[in-house]
Amino acid sequence: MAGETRDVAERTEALEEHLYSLDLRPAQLRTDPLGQTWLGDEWFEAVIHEPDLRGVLRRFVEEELELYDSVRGQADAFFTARVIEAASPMEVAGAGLAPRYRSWVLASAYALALGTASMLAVPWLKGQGYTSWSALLHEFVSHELGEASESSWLFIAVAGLAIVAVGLVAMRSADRQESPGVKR
Amino acid sequence: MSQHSLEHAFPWTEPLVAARPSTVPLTALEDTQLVERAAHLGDGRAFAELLRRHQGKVRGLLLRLAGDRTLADDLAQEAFLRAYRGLAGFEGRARFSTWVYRIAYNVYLNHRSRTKVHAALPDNFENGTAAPETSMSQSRSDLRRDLVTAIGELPERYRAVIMLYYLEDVSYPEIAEILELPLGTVKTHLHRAKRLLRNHMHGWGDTRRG
Repeated sequence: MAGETRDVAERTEALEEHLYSLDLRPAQLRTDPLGQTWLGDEWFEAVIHEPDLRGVLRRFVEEELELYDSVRGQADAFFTARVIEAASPMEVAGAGLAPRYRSWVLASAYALALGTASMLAVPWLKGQGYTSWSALLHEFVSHELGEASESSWLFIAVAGLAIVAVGLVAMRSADRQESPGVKR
Repeated sequence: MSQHSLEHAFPWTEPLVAARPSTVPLTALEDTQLVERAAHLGDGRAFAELLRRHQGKVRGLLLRLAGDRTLADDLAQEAFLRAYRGLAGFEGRARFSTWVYRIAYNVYLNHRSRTKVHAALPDNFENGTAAPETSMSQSRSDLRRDLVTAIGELPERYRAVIMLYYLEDVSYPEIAEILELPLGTVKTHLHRAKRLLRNHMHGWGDTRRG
């Protein structure tokens, strides 16, 4: 008798573990509460023949459906009105900007940031013994590419940074337009 | 919300909307189309429709996380206002609902860090039975109360996962994105949360029956 009780308890626990591992949606649970289509043949047979397991399944289905129902609140007109009223003095950041114009604004911001960073870096580089920040780059790779004048290194570095900045902006802009979620 | 009050709330929208008349009702539009209208045409009614569609789940999520209806509504309002300000930056990589849930969760985390709310919700955790549905049977009402109280007893990391899972329209990868957790951790948390939830509930049930 004790062994039989232990066996039922083990099977009940095993069924619960199985149920917790399933990914069930309310529509499935409502249309097939006995689990014929989702429980698996072995467990379905067991549930049909064992009242204890049937009780576990029934309780599980009830609780799952109640969980789905209980977590969502209702739409509340007063809440809507409250948020709309609070939003009325606000503006959507960047609203009304055409994507092309937005890209130019972003590119300008990137360029400004690069220029500012460059201006801040130059005094530090001079303190380190370099005549300019391009000299640091020059020294770093000169043994790989041979000698070149410092002005040409400056040009190459600025051009490289500009290409990176424009590339970033272009990628961002393209991504916005190609994104499946946003139709234009 | 009436047409008049919307126009009053969003006075700048009317000329822009009028410039692009549409015969399609807002309720028939997808979220992304509503975002487009709200963000780039300044259509306040489109934002109101987004708000109507998603507020129930956002408020429900925050109620279960915060445990207080008034606080949850305040946080939900803050989340929707942040979403409104950031509409133009919504890039459509994720669904709008996922994006809003993430904002809401971040708003909750910010609130929690400001006020140092304990992770486990306690005695005064609001179980959502303050305004019961009149049509609900006593046994179902009891079940709901037990479930919601059991959710409140869960550790916060499990509570967030289980709430997002039962919102129904959030996939595992989306839960991982919202909570910034690895996918495997989300699945593990969910399994443990379901087990803990049942342990709490069935423990009480057994106590009551006993």
